[in-house]
Amino acid sequence: MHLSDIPFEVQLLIFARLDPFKVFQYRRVSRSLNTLLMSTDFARLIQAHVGLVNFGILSDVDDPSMFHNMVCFITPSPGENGFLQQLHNTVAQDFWSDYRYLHEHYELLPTKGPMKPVWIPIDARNEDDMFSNFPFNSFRITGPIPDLISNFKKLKSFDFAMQMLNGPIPVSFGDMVQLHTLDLMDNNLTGRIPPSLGNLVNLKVLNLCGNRLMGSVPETLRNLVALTELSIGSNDLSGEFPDIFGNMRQLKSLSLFGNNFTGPFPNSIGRCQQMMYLECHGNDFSGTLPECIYNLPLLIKLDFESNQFMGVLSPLVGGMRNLQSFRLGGNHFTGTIPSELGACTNLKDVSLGSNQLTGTIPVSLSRLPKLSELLLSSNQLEGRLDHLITTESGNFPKLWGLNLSHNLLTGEIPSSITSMAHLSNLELNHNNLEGPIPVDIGNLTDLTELMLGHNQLTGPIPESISNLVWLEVLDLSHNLLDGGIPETIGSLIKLREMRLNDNPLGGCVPTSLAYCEMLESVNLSETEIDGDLPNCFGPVVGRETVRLLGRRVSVGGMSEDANR
Amino acid sequence: MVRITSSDSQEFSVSQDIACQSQLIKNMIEDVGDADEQPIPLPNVAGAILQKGGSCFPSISNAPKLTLFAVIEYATMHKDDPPSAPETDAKPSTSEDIEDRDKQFLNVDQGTLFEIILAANYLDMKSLLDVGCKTVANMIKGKTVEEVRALFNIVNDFTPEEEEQIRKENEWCEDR
Repeated sequence: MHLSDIPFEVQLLIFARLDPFKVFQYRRVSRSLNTLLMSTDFARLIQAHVGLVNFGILSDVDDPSMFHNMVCFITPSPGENGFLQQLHNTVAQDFWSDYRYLHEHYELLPTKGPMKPVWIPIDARNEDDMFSNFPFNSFRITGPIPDLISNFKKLKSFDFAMQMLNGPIPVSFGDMVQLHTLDLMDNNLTGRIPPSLGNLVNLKVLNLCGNRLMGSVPETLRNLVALTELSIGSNDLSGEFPDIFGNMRQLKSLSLFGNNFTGPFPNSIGRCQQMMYLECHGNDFSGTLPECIYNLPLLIKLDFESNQFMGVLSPLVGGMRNLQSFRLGGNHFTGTIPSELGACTNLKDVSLGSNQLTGTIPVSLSRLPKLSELLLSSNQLEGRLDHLITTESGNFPKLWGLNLSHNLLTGEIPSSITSMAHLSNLELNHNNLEGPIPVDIGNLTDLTELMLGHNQLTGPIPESISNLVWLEVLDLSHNLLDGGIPETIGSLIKLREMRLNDNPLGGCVPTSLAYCEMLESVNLSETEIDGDLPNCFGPVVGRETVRLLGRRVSVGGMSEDANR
Repeated sequence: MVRITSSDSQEFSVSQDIACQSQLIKNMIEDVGDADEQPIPLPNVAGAILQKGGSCFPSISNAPKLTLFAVIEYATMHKDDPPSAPETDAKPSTSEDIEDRDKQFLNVDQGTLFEIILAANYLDMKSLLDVGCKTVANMIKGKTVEEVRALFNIVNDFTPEEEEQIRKENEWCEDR
């Protein structure tokens, strides 16, 4: 009987017993041994048996009470040589002077080929940044996390956010009961969340956001009573969310967004009285929003956009004095917008679009001193706009985004709107607004989007519109506007899109339009705009991107290009 | 008791707790239920009849024995061990932690050792396979490439160029 009679898998076991830093010299013994030692199976075995990640605590030579935390992370997979090469090149050569010493105190880890093993020093006392002592910014760590990571039972923080780790979360993480931070955000981890994570009763931060985890959330997580942050957003998790919050009294931040959770949202969330950030958008939660959420006194962000919630918005919202962000758009909420919302004086953004809300927009919102974004589009809101925005009202002092489009609003666009100096997006299209466009609309010099289409607006396009030098999109289509295009339109040098179609507009295309070099799309169809475009306009139209759709506009010799 | 036969029809009768140190036999017993009726055949193990040459097994030293016999001996020796303590430490256990009785048990010629390892692998006896692999690893440990070739009677089938290439790649682990 001969060594070569032993099956390959048993030979692997034999050689995996040897010092991984010396075993590779036996590649030279024979071809078959070289094949064995260079096989993926051998690399895997060493990874599983020995661990190619090595965290350890090294005591200082002179002062054993001084600890330096060291980390070694080597991926054995054949494709990772580039990574290793780069790592090797980056490590200062003098770092290896301590090599022998380290070797006696650590299990050193092998890698294939000419690479030396790599040690990465980290400072145990700086848990925020494990790599703070290391020139580690030019590359990221890849490969699976070895099961043996759990050997480091004293590890308090495992922070490998924004690396390129793949494979599953090792079940053995459940053995590292000292962990208070487990941050694996933004990697490529797959598989399920292991129920063993429920053993980590000291965990304060669990962040698994931005991976490709699937399956349901294990109920064992209910044991993590010390959690302040639970972040599992942006994965492929699914199923009903377990009712795990009952004892999480410290929880401040919950991120579940971007998964496929279904069913009702757990009522026990009401027990998390420290809760500040609830980010649960982009799921399929259904039923009603638990009323107890409105009683979380410290809540700053409430984001349940794009779910399947129904029911009405509770007037209890008025008690949330810390609330800055109230986002429930893209659900099936009915009823009215509670005027109590106006009592949340810290509100910065309110997003309730794409629901089935009815009634009027509470005037109280216009007094919110910090409100910068109000998105209420695609509901059945009614009432006169000039009753919401009046000189007497608060006039939305900080508002930069106002989207009331696709509702049933009536009345005129009040001239006081032109005093909302921060306004950048104004979308009032698809309503039943009437009367003229405020003559001082040009005061809103920060506007980038002005959408007033699909109303019954009358009168001329104000000359002042040419002051809107940041304007990118101008939609006045499907109104009853008359007069001409202001001669000075060419000062809108950022303009990309201009839709004036379906209006009884007349006159000519101003020559100055030639200065709008960003223009990609112009629609002048169904207007009375007349005549040839001036020659100077030729070069602009000549660019393929400009499409003059107006039937009556001809562009000299360029008309064929223009209509293409 | 469980009856086990090798392919050369030698029958062994061993107690269930000894036999069940082999995961293979344990599974078989669980599959067939009552094991008293039929002897369990183990054709692969008995396939190679092994002349046990040395005198390290005092009880069996004078007679030709099967590998199976040696394996049973090992299992008997370990029947009172606590149920397979998983290597919680999971450190790459190298040689030092072989028990003396195991060391003595495996102090056999190379061919016999490989035979036992093979049987342990087939019978799925983790602890025996483990200790067998450790023993071979110990034989390799500390030896140069040339010594390993001599140890296992391996012919160097590399061309000088190929060997030089590997030597170059291996600088990191050979120069110490």
